[in-house]
Amino acid sequence: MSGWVCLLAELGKKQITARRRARDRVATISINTAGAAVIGLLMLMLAFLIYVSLPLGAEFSIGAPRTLALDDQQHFAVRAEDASLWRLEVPQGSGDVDRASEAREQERPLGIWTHGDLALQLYPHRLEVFELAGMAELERGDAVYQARWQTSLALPGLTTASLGVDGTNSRLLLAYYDEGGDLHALSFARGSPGTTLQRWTLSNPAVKSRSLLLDASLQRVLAVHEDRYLLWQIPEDKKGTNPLVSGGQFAGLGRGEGVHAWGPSRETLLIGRGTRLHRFDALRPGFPRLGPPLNLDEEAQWIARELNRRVTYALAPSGAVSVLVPTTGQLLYQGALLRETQTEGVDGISSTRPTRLTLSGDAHYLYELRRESLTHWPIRSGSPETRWRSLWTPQWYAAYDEASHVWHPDGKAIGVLSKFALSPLLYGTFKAALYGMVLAVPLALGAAIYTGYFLSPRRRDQIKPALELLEAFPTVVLGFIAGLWLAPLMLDYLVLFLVLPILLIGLPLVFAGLHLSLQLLSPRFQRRPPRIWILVFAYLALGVWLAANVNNLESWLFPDTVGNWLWQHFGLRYEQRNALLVGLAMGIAITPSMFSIVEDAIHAVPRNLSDGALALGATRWQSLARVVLPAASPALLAAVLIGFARGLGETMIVLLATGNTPLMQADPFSGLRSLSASIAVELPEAAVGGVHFRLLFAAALLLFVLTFLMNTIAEGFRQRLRYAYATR
Amino acid sequence: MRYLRVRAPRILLLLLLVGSGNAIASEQALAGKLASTGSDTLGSLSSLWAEELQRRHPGVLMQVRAIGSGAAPTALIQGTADVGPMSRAMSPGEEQAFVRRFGYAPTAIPVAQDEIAVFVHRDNPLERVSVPQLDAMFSVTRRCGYPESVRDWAGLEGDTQGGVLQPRPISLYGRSAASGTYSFFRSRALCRGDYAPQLNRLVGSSAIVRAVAHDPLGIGYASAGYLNANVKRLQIIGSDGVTPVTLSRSLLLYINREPGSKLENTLAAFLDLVLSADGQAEVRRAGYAPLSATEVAELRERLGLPLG
Repeated sequence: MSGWVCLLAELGKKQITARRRARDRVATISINTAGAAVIGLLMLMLAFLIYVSLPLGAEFSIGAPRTLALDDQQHFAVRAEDASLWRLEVPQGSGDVDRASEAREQERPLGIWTHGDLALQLYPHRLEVFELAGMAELERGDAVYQARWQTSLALPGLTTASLGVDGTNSRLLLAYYDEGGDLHALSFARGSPGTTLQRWTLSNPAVKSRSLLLDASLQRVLAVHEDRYLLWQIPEDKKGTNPLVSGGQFAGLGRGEGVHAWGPSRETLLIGRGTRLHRFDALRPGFPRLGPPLNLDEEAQWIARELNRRVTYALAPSGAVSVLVPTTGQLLYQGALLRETQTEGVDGISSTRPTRLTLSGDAHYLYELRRESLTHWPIRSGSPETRWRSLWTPQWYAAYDEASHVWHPDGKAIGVLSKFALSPLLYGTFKAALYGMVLAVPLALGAAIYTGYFLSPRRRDQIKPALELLEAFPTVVLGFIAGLWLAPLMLDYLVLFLVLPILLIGLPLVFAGLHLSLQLLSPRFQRRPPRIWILVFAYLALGVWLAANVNNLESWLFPDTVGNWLWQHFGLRYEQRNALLVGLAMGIAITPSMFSIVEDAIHAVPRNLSDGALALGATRWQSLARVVLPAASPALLAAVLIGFARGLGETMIVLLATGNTPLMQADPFSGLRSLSASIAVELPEAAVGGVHFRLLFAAALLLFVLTFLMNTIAEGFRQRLRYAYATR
Repeated sequence: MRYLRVRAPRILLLLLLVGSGNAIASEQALAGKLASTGSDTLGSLSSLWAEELQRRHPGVLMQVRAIGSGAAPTALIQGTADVGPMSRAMSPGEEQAFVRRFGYAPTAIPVAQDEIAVFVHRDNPLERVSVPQLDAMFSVTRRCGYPESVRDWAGLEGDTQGGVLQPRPISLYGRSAASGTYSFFRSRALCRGDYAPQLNRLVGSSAIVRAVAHDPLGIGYASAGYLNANVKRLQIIGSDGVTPVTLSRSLLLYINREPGSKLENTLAAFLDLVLSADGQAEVRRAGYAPLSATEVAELRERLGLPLG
């Protein structure tokens, strides 16, 4: 009988264990799945950030050339915009042209220039203008497109191809030397009421230059001869006024011939002289020099710049091409450009230039147009401007007084290039976090030590949740309050904000010192130390006095106002939206989480340790400082790290409480701009897939890695603490 | 099901009207969809108009997507939007892309004026400031030609009403880089130069006005509609020191309209609303300057809308 019972019980037990085991298995699987999902999501996020920002680091390369044979009898142009090939045929018997078509057949053009959608075919004394348009739906390949003839312009006296061309989308500027050496300029405007043409003869004081650089957006013509220049300012649509001329000398260039090109957006002037590439500021009068010259391996014979990026190409006679970023001097690519079929002799079109290498406007091709062939080299460029080094080193941009770290993205303005340096943003991120820590560390640690060690359990149970509830306070509200309410208040009561911390830290020290010296001086005090309420009373009295005299305080302490005193004596500008304000708001935001960690750790230190110390005669302070704090120190460190990581990633406070000024100043009175705030503000505006967009993702990746590392280290410390007391 | 039941009579009515060949005549019957994609600046205004349009013509469903001015040309070219609000004129490249696709230029309709005001604290004695001086204060590049940067109020030679400018640091306030105002001020007042890093880039125009109202050393710019009595608006003059300059831009609606053709009914109804007293009242509500009556009349005529 009992055997049966036993058997049944066994069975039941087995059943129960089986069920329990199944339940355990389900729980294990689901918990593991959830855990793996969290880690997987995190990894996915990381992978996404890397995926988006990776093209930033893509290598620059120039691919193998492709050559297209051309019919010798025809005239071709390559559209500068995208390196597509166009056939130029002047229609026979067109109204403006009265020459016989046979004569035209035998005429050789002196040169062909293209700008945007316009092609200019230059004949002696005449210019034919073509429109290269209408291939939007066509696939770009080796196809040849038919250009639309637009007009013919008479250019009396033009025989050589010493012509300069530049254009904006609506205006074309031309300048050329005639047989007599006089310089002529033409402005050719395309608009809705037909095209208009204006001509000027530019006064030409004795500079015989073959190098003309034109700037259609600012309407100026620059002639460079050795180290001297002449600059004509074409008047803005006013007839009868003569172009203004000014001249000068480039600093430190020396005599000799060179090659010239505008920099990107015509902000700089690049002069290649021998193996050196000089940069001059084209936005400031007198073309001041921008930084030291860059060194090339070989003499440059032709230089060109990309339109929309700071990338410069230099070609040596040997065919070696160097691609570099002029602002940093970083070399992106160096290699020989090889053509499949080497043609001999000098061709008629390009007699004034050794090679007619051209860079397409979209910077996808380098190409060379000869009479019998078109060769183009594809460029795979990635994003050459945002190399690791250029993001962190100062760069000297046009119209700046010195090399500086500039974060100035603005993709919307036409003809202005963005400037990307992550250094001020990272600087601002750390500055905000550090100023936050200045408030949060003493506040959180002090509060945690007091609550965890000195407070009665009942009070602790009341205070701890209340403080931790602060964490749920939305930071956007904190930022809003700090930016809109506290910022003006701080400006009015700046002295109080500055003096208060000094008083708070300094006064106890003063009292302690006073107390010690009194003890040393008089034995009476040794026996009977003054009561704590005296200190409290002194503090209160001081508080009342401060509150009553806050308006006079400033005039007593400073001759004028604090802000003015700082400005005149230290050159510090007191900004309304400053690091002090951010530190205050940030400190309040970080404190609860830090408090929570430290308080838990202190509370977790076994009571018997400190009780033992107390029993052995240590004071409460001694047992705290010698026993409890060392035991909890990993958690203190962990809390500081976690608080700091939180500060680095904080967005709304920094966005709303600062002026988002990308400065690199450490003082508490200046503003800052953080990585996270930049991401929040700029990402919606950045063109998807563009450099700015990817850079913001790279910034996000940087933030992610930083906070991830800090949190991991912090967690490591906390684990150590947990293991240390797990056995007890 | 409930939706169907409510809508059914109207659809029936519409069918009847179509059947009688008289669908256009009745305003009640106006139905259809209208999509607007573009400027963020015009976003709230477009939404106000869309609400009003739906109140007037319950059959019309208007969808407003405020992404940024750059989105408008693409949407118009692809045909995903009927209206493209923009806070700037189309760039020649954008316009060319449109012409390449349709063979004619898009039609731009100015619907409001956004004037940018430069202002200081009400106690500041400064009365007016020139564009090169603004450039010297707000930029690092000084492309408008001022010889040196101005970082101190005493470095500013301006008209003051008896007051003296003290040697105090200048605090600069402006919009954040995402806004069109930021770009606009940059191209007009800084001659396309770069903002000084010290410029406080605040989120929203009202935040700027508030900051300057509390900062005796502050100067800022914002849409004129946001100004209040706590700040003093400065008169802006040109580089010659005499000619007054207004920093204003037209807010535009771009539409795709073949020259000489009639506007689509829903689009005509929308433009009729925008260029009406009600529509222009919304402009004022959104903080911008409405068009003058003559401008409205001119535009209505150009678009073939009934006058009155």
